[in-house]
Amino acid sequence: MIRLYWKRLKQNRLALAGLGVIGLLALLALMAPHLVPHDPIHQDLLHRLEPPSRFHPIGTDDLGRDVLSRLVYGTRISLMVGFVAVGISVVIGTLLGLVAGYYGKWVDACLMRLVDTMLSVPTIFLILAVIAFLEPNIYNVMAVIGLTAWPGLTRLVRGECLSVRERDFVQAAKIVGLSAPRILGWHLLPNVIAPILVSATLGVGGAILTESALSFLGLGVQPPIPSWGNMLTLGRDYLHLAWWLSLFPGLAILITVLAFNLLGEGLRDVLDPRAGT
Amino acid sequence: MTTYLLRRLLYLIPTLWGITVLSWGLMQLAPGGPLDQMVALNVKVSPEVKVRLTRELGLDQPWYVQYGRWLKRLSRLDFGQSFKDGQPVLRKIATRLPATLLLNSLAIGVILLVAVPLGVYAAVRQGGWFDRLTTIWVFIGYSTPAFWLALLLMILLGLKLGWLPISRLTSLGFPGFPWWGKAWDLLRHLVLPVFVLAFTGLAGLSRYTRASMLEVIRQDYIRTARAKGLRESRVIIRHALRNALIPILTLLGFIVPDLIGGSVIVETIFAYPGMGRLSYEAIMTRDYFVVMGVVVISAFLTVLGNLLADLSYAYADPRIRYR
Amino acid sequence: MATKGNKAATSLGALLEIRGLSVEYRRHRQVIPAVRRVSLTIRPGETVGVVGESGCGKSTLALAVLRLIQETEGRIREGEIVFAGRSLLTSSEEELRQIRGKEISIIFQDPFSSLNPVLPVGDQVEEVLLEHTGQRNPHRVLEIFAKVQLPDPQRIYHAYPHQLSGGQRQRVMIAMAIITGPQLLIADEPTTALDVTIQREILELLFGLQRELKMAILLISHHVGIIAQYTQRVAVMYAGEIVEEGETDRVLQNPQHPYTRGLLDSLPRLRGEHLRRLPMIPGQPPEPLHLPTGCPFHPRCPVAVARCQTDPPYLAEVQGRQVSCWVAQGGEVRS
Repeated sequence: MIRLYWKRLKQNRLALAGLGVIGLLALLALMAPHLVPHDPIHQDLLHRLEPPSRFHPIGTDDLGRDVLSRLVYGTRISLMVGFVAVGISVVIGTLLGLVAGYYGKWVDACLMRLVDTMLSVPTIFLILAVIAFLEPNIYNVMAVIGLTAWPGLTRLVRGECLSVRERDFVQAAKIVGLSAPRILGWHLLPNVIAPILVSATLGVGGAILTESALSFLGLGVQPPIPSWGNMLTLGRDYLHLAWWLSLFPGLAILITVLAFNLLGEGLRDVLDPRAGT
Repeated sequence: MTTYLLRRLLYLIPTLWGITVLSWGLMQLAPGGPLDQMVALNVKVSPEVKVRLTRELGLDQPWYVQYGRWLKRLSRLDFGQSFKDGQPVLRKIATRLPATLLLNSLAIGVILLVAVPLGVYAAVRQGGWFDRLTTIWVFIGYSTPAFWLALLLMILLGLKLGWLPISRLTSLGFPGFPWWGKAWDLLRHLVLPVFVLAFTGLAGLSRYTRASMLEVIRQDYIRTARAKGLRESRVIIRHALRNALIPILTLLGFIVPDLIGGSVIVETIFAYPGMGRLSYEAIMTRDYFVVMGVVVISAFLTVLGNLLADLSYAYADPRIRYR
Repeated sequence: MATKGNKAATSLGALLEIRGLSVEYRRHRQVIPAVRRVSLTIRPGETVGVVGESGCGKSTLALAVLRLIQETEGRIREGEIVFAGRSLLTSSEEELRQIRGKEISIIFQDPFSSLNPVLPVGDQVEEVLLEHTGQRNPHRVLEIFAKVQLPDPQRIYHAYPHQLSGGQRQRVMIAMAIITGPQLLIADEPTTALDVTIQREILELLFGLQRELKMAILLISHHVGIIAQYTQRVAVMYAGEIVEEGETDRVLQNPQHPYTRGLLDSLPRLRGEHLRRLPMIPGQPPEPLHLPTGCPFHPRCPVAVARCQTDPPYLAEVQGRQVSCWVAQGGEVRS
């Protein structure tokens, strides 16, 4: 089964490219200290706002820090936020979706109204409101993104669950008298794993985008810790002086998010033969 | 149609109620509650005043009483007052809302006018170079951080080329301009924010239009239309697009919250005087009745947008309209 | 309307002549043959039937005549289709458009999905007039609605498809097909999706209109009974090929191809005192991608001989009709 999926994935060049880029980024994040030419928080006030040169391939920032080194360290933040936030939302979304889909009736009705409510408040306002009341730091950012991203997934899992629930093997398991958690875990979960995987992959890209936006607004990861979002804040401050401060961090976000989106769409094609053309 | 409408309106009740619970719950998140936030901003508040305030604001009451009172005030559209300048929150939002509505409706207009033809053309020429180009562009559109796009455009079009203003809604001498000068000035200021706000939605909607068209083109009635000897343009526009647009109407409902959310970032970057920028300022100054007001009102706007989308869906589809 | 490029000769007295037509579909980079070297002639005013199991290529044949197979799905690989002196395969899209719906009309199997759900049906019928005559004419539409025996034409004119019954929708489809007075009507399983009680009404209507309008009908059906009752000539299709073709009475009363006999035998019918339900033809029709060598029917054939497994048979005259079967051609099939 897995081998078949892998074979199909290998034929999707774009998805494969996405996977390659993600692998590369993960490597970059893990090996950051050994790879970067400079200490990312080392200030060098004699070399402030220098344009790209041989010594600083993509220039320096307002405190003379090497932008490339900060960019590489930013990979760590982005990937961590992406994975942790999605981890949180996948756990919540899947659990609630399974429960709603399995029990149906009023449990389902209540949970779905909750989902409707969550979906009708623009996520960014929820996040901003929470961050406004809490300290803006990387942990709160991860938690908040994770805690607001689950409703879509809940709806998805519930839908899959409802269609699987009526199938014979689940009915049989009920008649035999298996407990609800058992049925949910052993029989329903495996059937909804494919759409969850797709949605999670796309979700990582979304979470990275949200984190960068928050950090850009000064409500996310705080300097001096380098994140692509807060590096762009500097870019805005020095808009007319140092274009390289704006260009490269954004490009990093674009490439990373693009990689996750390509992989996610590729997985969708591979795992769900119905979709796609 | 009537039953559909009634059901749709009934669904609104729990959602609206949920929004109030959610917003109120958020407020309780603040460490120490609203008072500490107020006091923290104003060092002159003495302990006695604090006690008096606590009683006046009803903060010594149990939570359900507090929630009840809050709900009651909400029903009179009383969102409290700004800590910063003592103005009623509602008035503050009301002065900013028109600019945000203008920005968002223009963005929706641009999205529809550009994305639908793109999606239709890509679907009709499925697999051709235009289709491939759109697909790539859609992926890039999905993955581009809006604020970064804004920065790049500001550098390029605003600073390097000097074609467009990069902040605010009007120029300095605006009140003295003749009406056409005013219109031109507004337009120039709106170009960048509208484009940036519409960008992500463009990608999403053109992809969805393409998928919807591909689905419709396969249908038997399209074959019937061709068998009747209709021109291909008529087959595509009158028979296929009409059907493909119906599900797109519901999608518009989903785009609304994204747009309203996106306007926070876009308005902040372009110093655009709308509700999004107000909420950013309020968050930065912990002016948190304003924050709550914006959350509630934007949620209501979203619900309204969804409702409008559903209604037009019901109207556009005769299978629902005549039942 | 004919231009230099598409003038073509038909045999004497033929309205539509299909010669050596092959159609293939493309799916997942695989080429699937659907129709193989089919030849068929229809004369003005005549009713010709095409009968076979589902998937035998008979609907593809119908679509191919009007060149309605989309480039993304498949293509006509070879052959010739000549209609009233014009070669349809070399006609331009514009020339085809003038023929579709005006000189050749088609009725599809499923009236539920063949009408556009978001347009009033009157509009959809009137559109044919608008396209081919350049003007709207609601009176003509109402006339036609009355002619196809739709009750309350005024109301139906403004109704949407979902507000009509299956039978009413098929009447609308018929109205749409005949409003321009075509010379040829292709009816692709016109009653298969309908209730049995309505099937007869629709067929009676269709063939009543045929007598009145003097049009030829190409009737495609899997139902041998319907073919037997309404057609003058019949072509039996199997695995994309015509295996037997001739006058309907002759073919069905004295079938020469073992597949035709199988089709007839699988019909329940009264024989003597008791209802005899005869077995279906054993086995499944072959996958178009994995056609057997030799005669495509040989794996299911009760009378196959060694030669059937290796040599593909061809149509040749046996007892006054064309048959593509080594055994029948060798005179070994009992009658």
